[in-house]
Amino acid sequence: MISDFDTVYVVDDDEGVRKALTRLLRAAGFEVSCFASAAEYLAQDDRTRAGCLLLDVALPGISGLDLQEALAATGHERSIVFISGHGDIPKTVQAMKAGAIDFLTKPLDDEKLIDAVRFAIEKDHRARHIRAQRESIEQRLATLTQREREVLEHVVSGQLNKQIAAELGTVEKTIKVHRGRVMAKMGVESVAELVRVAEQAGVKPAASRSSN
Amino acid sequence: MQDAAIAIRDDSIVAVGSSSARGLRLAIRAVLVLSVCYLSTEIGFAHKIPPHNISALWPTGAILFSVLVVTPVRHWWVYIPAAYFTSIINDARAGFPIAAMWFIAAGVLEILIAAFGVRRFADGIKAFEAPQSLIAYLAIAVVFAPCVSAFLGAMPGGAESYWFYWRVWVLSEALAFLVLAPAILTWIGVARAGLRNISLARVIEACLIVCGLVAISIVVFTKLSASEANVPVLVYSPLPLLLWAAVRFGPVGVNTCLLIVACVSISGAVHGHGPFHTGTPAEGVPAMQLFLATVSVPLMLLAALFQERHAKTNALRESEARFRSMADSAPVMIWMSDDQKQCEYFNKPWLDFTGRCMAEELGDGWTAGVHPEDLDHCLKTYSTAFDARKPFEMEYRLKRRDGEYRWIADYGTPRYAPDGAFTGYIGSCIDVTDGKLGELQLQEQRAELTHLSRVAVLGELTGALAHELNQPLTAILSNAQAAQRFLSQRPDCLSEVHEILNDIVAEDKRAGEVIRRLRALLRKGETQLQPLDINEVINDVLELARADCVSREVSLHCELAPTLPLVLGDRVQLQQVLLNLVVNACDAMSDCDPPDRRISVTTATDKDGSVRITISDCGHGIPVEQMERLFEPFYTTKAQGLGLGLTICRSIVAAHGGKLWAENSPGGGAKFCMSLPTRRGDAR
Repeated sequence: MISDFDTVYVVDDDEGVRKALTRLLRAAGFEVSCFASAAEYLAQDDRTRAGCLLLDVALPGISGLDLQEALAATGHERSIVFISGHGDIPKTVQAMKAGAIDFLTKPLDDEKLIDAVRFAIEKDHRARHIRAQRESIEQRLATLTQREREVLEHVVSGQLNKQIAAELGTVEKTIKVHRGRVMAKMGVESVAELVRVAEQAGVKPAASRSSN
Repeated sequence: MQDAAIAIRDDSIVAVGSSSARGLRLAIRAVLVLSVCYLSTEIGFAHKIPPHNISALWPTGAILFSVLVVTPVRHWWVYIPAAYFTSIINDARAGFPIAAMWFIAAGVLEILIAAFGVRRFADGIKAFEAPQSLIAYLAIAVVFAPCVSAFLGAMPGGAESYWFYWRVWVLSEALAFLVLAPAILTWIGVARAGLRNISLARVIEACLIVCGLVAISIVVFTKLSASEANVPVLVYSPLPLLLWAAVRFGPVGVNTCLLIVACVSISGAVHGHGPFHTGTPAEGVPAMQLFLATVSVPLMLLAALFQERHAKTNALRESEARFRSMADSAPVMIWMSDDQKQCEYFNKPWLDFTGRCMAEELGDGWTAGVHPEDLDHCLKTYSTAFDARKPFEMEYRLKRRDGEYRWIADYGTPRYAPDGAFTGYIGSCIDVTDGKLGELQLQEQRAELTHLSRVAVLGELTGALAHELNQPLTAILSNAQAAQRFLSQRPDCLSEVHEILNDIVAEDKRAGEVIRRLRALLRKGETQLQPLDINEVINDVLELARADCVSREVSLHCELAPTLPLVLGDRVQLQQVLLNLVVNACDAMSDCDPPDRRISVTTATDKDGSVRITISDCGHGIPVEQMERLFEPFYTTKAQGLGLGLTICRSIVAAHGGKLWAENSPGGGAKFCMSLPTRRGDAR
């Protein structure tokens, strides 16, 4: 899953540290991009690019935790590995609660750092993949007509065609046709698959009036 | 005047006794004056020179004058009639001729003028002891009084011989005041002082002079006939002996000898002998009178000069002796040096202290007792002040006689002669060891406290400092691990590794630097003054405080003057002050919004040449009533704090000769200003 060119975005105000981390991460096969401050990073943030953030907690101006918050607020959940000069427990807790991958204490052990970075990047990939799948399902869902959507919701809730027809006040044959169109549009071959995709897309099952 | 005062004092002592005893004493004196004047009047009459009955020297006037000069004015009414008693009796026998009345009136007037004048202007009985008073005496008693009284005394001579009698009067009275009165007055002076401590040799010397003078005078003025004595040199043959008397015996000697010469020469002239018996006595007498006058005046002046110098020398010696005894009994050690920096005197307390003798201490000898460590400083201070002719103060250790070195405070001042010439230095010293020990203890405690406060400030920075150390350590570790990876992946990547090693070295040095700064501040040590660039000191402090500021979200702004004069100071202590002020500024802004947390540090040169350092924050400022209390010990506005930080800061700055104070900035926030004297402004 991880390409050789996954980027690690390093944000640290100390030039010596930036330089050393760059070398280490490059030696471990990562692409590295450095920023001296949170503001500098924000100015060049490209959310389409994959990778993770290696973020110093104590930064002049906007601190690491502030940056984490700012990114979350824009809906851009970049996976973050925090690094800090001293293990400040309240800050660690705050960072982890806000979804940080790890909180490492300087000086950094290369194995731990690389594991954390790798894990963060994997997570980024996973998140990107899930996001991409969801986006494609949503795109397909969007092609359904109102009636087809209703039928889908009833299918997901596990009702038979006959029951659906009764619910919607039509004949079973019509439901069959709708159902066939839905499956074609969603690109699935079995009802089981349809249910899984609909769940992924967050489609809510319709409440059955005659289930009992 | 002084004499009058003495006379009055004498009298007041007498007043302690009964008034009858006083009256008796006065009566005895009056009778004494009466008898002396009787004799002198008789002698005067016996020595009148025919045909005009001219008197060469009228003694009674001079005697009464002498009495009046030395007695209180309120007794004069007794002495004047007593002196004129004989004359009045004689005149009464002759049926009070008009001429005699004129003579008495003129005589009394003359004596009164002379006595008042001499008492007032010529120092009375001491008239012969100084040239100024002698000249006043001559002007008043010898010239003025006879000349004025002669106008009355010449009246009986009638119109045709008025000026003849005037001249006769003047000359005879003047001679009496010139020769007889001085001898009487000086002998009264001798009698009053008492003839103590006169050595036998001196008595013999005096006798020799008197005998020699009498012999020579008799030979020259009475034995030789007019033609034989007509060799001018012979007339001056008494001169060597007179000079001898003037030089060796002063006024009393010269006045006595002159009287002898006068008596013998008058006697010769009256009896028709000697060099002045040329024609008639009326011609010879004035010549003799003039001779005596010309001889007397210079000799008396000479004697007065000698006497004055003698008195001055005595006074000087006395004052010197007084100084010595005062210096020796003073509870301080005193030294004096000449204008070549060489010590020429040490008082007894000094010699007692060092246990050495004067000869050992003189010149530079005293330096042997100074502690070798203090000697350079001691000599430098002395020498510098000496060359600038300025007073100085210094402390050094001096070896006591028991071998212990004691701390001495030495205060020296230049000495000047009355004419303004520099003559050297005088100094006094006291043993301040006990006070000094206390001071040292106090200094030690202060240093301890200063150090503790420094440690406390650094304690507040520990977190930030750990971060500061962690950064280079992080860089080093990551670099090293990167190198390991490079080497295991591509063993030929030497240039990469080379670069990494360079960085590791640089980072390591950086960590070392942080530790150095810390250690410098944590070090306990004595104050070390050295010329400092205050900007460098500030940069060092800001490096230490930077991490703390970052974590407290405080931004630092510097405006340092590009060129500042050097400050003489202790680097560590000044760093402590600055660090304290920066940490305080951070604390003052803890409840401000992070973007408002700004500290600015500026340096500038003041008009007076001192360096001004200002540290301002953007907090809430300082309430006016706290402004000065801030520097009081144990005053604090912080929850955790001893309240000693600023107190110690101020004492450090004060020890540097500078000032530390607080102000509120016009735009809000507080600022702490520190001004430090620069080396240029410092005379030392």
